[in-house]
This record gives sequence, C-alpha cells and structure tokens, in this order.
Amino acid sequence: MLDPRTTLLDALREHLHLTGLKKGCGLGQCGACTVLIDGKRMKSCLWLSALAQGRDITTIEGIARGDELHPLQAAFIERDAFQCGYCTPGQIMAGVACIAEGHAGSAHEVRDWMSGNICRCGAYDHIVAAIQDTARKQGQGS
Amino acid sequence: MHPFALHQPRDIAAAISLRAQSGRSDSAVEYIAGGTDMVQLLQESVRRPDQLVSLAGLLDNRIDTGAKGLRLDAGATMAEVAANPVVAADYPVIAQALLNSASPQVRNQASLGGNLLQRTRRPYFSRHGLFSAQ
Repeated sequence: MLDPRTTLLDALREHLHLTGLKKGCGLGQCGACTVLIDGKRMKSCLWLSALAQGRDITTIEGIARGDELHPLQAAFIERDAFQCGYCTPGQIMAGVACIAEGHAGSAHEVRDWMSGNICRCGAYDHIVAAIQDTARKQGQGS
Repeated sequence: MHPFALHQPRDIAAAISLRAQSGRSDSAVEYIAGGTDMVQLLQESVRRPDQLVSLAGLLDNRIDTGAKGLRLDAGATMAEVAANPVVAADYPVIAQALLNSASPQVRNQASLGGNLLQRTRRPYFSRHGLFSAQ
C-alpha cells in the first residue's frame, strides 16, 4: 500500500523500478516524466498514483518490440536527437503521441505540439527532424 | 507534501458531504479533479489539506453544441473541448485559447472546472511561508 502522496512518477520509478521515465522538475513543466495513460500523453508527476488505478499506462520501456526499437526510437538515433539524453524518454513518448494525434504535419506544427517537453541541451532541431521522419514513414506530413 | 487522507467517493453527493463536514475550516478538505493544478500546490505545500476528495469520474464531461449555444461540463478536459469540431468551427476563440494554454500533456489531464478554479499563479502568492505568518 503506497502513501497517498506518492505520484505516479515515483510509483513507477521508485516502486516498480521502471527507471526509463525521468524526474525533472516534478511540477509538470519539463515533460521528462511523460507516459501514455489510456493512450493519451500525460505528465506522470502530476498524477497521484492512487488516482491512476485501473488505467493502462505505457512507459518508454513498453514501446519497443523485443529487440526491435520503435521507429521513433530508431529515428532519434539516426538523427542524433539528443546530447545528455535525460529528456529523451519523455520526448519520445510525447513524440509517439504527437504523431498518433496527427500533429506532425510540418516542423512548425511539431514544435507547437511538442511544447510540453524541454531539452536543456537544445537538441530541438534534431528532435523535430526525427519526429517528422517517423511521421512521413507513416504517411503523414510533408 | 503535507500528509492527507485520500477519499474516492462514489457520487457527487458523497463528495459534497465530505467537504460540508469540514465546516468553516474549508482548507482542511480539498477537492482534486484532473489534478494538474492541485498536485503542484500540494508539492509546494501551498495547499496543506488533511483530506483530499477525488472527483475523478464524478463530473459530467459533455460538450453540448446545440442550437441554444454551447454548454461545457466541468469534467470535460481542455484537450477534448479544443478538439471538438463544432467548438473549433463555431467558437474558434475558445478552441484557440485552450490550444494556447499549458502543454498537450496538461490539456489531456486538466478539467475545465479545475481550470476556472485555478489558484492565483504568482510566485509571491504560491511560495509557502514567504509572506505568510505561519
């Protein structure tokens, strides 16, 4: 039984040892803790874990198929879309959702719809390119 | 974060009753809906309720776009309202205002009711203890 103060972020990282998602600000600003909850991207630091009971949660650990990377994970490597890598799991989860929502049409649109994820290394150009590459392969964007 | 007991009442009447029991010390019992504002306030000890009452699943979340006008229920999320095709076509200022707020992740979680009831977002207001006598 977890303390009711436990956030979903802490439940996943500290109790279930799913350390892919990262704790950045803890206040919903940076996006490093982004997960999919019932298929929608959310910031796990803004959820009390008790209130996420019964929901379907996908973390970065859940998007590859065995040893085969998710196309967006492969595109991040291809495009060198990170430096330190701390924001990357959150960027990729938000990017997966951004493409699934149909918001990856142009670079401008990607930037707009990726505004919830901060990269202090400033790898934005490459992140946008990786998302656009993946969206294009799925028949979206220009 | 100040310790609290979390309640997940089965209906709105039970949720209201939990708050009513607190009498005048209304800061001792607080509601949480989407949680995007409340969890931040709890994290920074701006709010220190002893009891937290969840409204998850209790608020209506319809978006009624009938001939009489637009009716948005408190439990609808910012993302749901912004993505509604009738809202986007006939009430573009609402859709645009929502899409210019927060981030896609927060809009997926935040309820309209909680959005309107947000606490003042000012560092000097939110910083616990800085200007308070406690």
